[in-house]
Amino acid sequence: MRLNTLTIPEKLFGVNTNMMTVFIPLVGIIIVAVVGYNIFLAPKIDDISKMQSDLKSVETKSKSVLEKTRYLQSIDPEELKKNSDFISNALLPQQNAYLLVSVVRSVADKFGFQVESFLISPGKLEKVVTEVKKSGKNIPRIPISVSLVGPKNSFLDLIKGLERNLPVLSVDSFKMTNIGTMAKLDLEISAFYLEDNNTYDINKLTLSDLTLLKEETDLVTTLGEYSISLDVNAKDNSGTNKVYRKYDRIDPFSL
Amino acid sequence: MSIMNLNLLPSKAKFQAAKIKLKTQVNKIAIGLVAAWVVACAIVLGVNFFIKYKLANAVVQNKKIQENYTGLQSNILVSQKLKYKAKMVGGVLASRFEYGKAFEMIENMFPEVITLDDYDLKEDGTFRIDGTTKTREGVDLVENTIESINSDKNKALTGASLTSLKNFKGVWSFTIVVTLK
Repeated sequence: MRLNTLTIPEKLFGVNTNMMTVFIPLVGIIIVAVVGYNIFLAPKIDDISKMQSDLKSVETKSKSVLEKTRYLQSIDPEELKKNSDFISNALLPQQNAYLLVSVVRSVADKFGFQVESFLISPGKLEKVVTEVKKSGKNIPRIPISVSLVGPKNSFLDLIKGLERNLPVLSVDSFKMTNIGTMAKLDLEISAFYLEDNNTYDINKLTLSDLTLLKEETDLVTTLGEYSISLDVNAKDNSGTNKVYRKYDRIDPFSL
Repeated sequence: MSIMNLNLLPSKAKFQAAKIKLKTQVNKIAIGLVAAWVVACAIVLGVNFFIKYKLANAVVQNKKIQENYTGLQSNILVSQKLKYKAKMVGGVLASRFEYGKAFEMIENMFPEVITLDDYDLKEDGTFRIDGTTKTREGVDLVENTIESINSDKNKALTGASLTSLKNFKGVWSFTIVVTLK
C-alpha cells in the first residue's frame, strides 16, 4: 500500500493495512469526543459541582439568617429596649466618682445616714479594674472611701440598701464604730462603669449570639428587686442636656 | 460437507465483503459513541442549567431574607448591648461579697440578750465583732454560738473565736473574731 510518499506495508500486526482505514473515522470521533470532553464538558461538570456547593452555601446562609430573623421578630422590641435601659442603670454611665458619692448619699439619706466625709483618689481611678467572673473580662471600677454617720439600728438596712441599689455597688471594706445610739461606718465602695464602644458586625452574629440566655433574663428579674436611688442615666446627671449659658460677670464671686 | 459453506468468490471480493462488514460495525460503534456523547452533553447542559436556575433563585431569596434581617439592625444592636451589659453586671454580682447577708446571718445567730456593737472587717475575710450582754447566761449563749459555728454546722462561716471577755459594772463586753468562708 502507498499513501502519498509514505509506503505502508501490506500488513501491520497481522492485520491488513487496507482494512485499518475503516477505523480512521472511529478514531477521529474518539479524538473529537475526548478533546470535546476536555474543552466543553469537563468545565461544565466543574461548574456544576461549584454551583452545587454555592447553592448549598447560599441555602445554609439563608436558613441561618431566616432563623435569626424569626427569633428577632419573636422578641418584643419595646421590652428589649426597656430591659436594655434597665440594665444600663446597673452601671455608671461615666467614670465619675462624684456621681458615685451622690448615689451613696442618696441611699444613705433613705436610712437616716449622712455622709460625714468622702475620699476620692483620682490616680487610683485609672488603674482599678475588676476581673468579671465567667466572661474573664475586666470591668473598670470607681472606688471611693466614705464615712457615714447615722442611727445604729439602721446600719444593716443601710448595708442591704447599698447592696440592693442600682447602679450596683460593691462594699470592699467595712468598719463600724458605735457612738452611743449612733454608728459611724467607714466604707470603701466601688461602682462599675462601662463605655459600650463595641461595634457589632450583625452578619457575623450567630443565632446563639443573639439568643438571650436564661441567666440574662433572670438578671433583669433580679435587678428588678433592686431600687434606683438616683437615676444616673438621667440627662441632667450626664450634663448632656445642659444648655450653655454665658455670664458676663466681672467678679466671678458675685451673683 | 455442505455445499452452502463453500465461498467461491475471488479473494479480493472476499476482502471487500469483510471490509464492508467491518465498516458497518465500526459505523455502528461510531454512531453509538456520537449518540452517547450528545446525550452526555444534553444531560450535563440540562443539569448545569437547572442548578444555575436554582442558584439564581436561591440568591434572590437570600437577598430578600438578608434585607429583612438587616431591617432588624436596631433590635440586634439593643440585644447585643443588653447581653454585653448583662454579662458584665452578672459577673460583678457573682464576684462581690454581700456583707448585708453576712451581717444579717451573724445577727440572727446571737439571741436578743446579746447586743452586737462594732463590726470591723479585716481584709482576709474575718470580722472582729464587739458585743455586750448583761447576764452570765448571755456569755454562755455567746460561747454556745461560737461552738456551733466551729462545729461546722454553719455553711457560711468557717470559724469563730472569743478573743476577749471582760466584766465592767455588771456588763459583760466581749470580742469575737468570725471567719467567713
